[in-house]
Amino acid sequence: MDLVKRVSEIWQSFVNDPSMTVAITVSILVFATLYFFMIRFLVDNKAEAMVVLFSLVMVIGAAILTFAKNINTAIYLIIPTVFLVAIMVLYSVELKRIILARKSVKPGDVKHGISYDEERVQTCVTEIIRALQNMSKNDVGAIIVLSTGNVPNQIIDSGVRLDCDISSELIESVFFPKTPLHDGAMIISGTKIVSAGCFLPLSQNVDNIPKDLGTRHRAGIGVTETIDVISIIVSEETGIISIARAGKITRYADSEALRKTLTRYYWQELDINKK
Amino acid sequence: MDNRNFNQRNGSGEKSKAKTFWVNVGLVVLALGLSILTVLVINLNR
Repeated sequence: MDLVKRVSEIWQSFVNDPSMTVAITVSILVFATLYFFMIRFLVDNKAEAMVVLFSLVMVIGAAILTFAKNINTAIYLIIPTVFLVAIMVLYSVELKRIILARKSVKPGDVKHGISYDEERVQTCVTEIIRALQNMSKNDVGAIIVLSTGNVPNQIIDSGVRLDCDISSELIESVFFPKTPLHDGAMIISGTKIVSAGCFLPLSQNVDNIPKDLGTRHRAGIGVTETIDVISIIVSEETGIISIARAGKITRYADSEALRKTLTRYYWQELDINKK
Repeated sequence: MDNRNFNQRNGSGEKSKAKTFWVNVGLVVLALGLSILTVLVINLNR
């Protein structure tokens, strides 16, 4: 058979010709890497059916081209190319999350070079905790995101820029029910409130989030999945304060846990210098 | 105050890691198989 003969020829050149050995091995590794990440991405996004479809189309395409005559079989590459483009179109949001997560600044990577007065930092920590406890006591819903300046402008500009000092009165005023900015998230960077009323990406991880948590908590968790930030959420229904980090949420945070989180944020993650 | 992390499930962490490992192995095998098929088909009739 021509097919058997041709495969045998390819195998012989792979074994006997070093340049072909290298070329074929590198080709296999490159394609394998590409296919692995494509298939892994689809599996992570619960699209196993697309993986099955892709595999079937590849096998059927191979079978058709094997018996076709006078066709350059390089057109076989159209199949994975089409699937790659389809993935990029269908999952553009998820791909953007992955890219944003890669670009996020990790703690300690950026030296802000800013000196903060230790007393000023302590004041900020106290003001934030007081605001959170007051809102918790009055069942006022809130999300506060603690960033190291790594929140994309797209999120900051979705709200209203404030660029003002932190005070418990201001935080409570922003989240007071029925005020214009109460329904979004507040972004804090250092000793400044950067913006409020911001829209955050919702968490897509439906398996690990308790079912009784609503959209506010999912937003608080979701932003930590894509960007290296801490979010503090106050539940409107129960007043429970939760802290989310890297896609995981810790509920029932008391003042000690809040002080620990905020102290770590200011003195370790911001990598600031004490005046 | 209860500071439990609700994402922790007692005793299921190890099973989940094993499952993830075998899923990844399966994906690697599938990717390798498809890549060998690709290279073979491309070289069949150049």
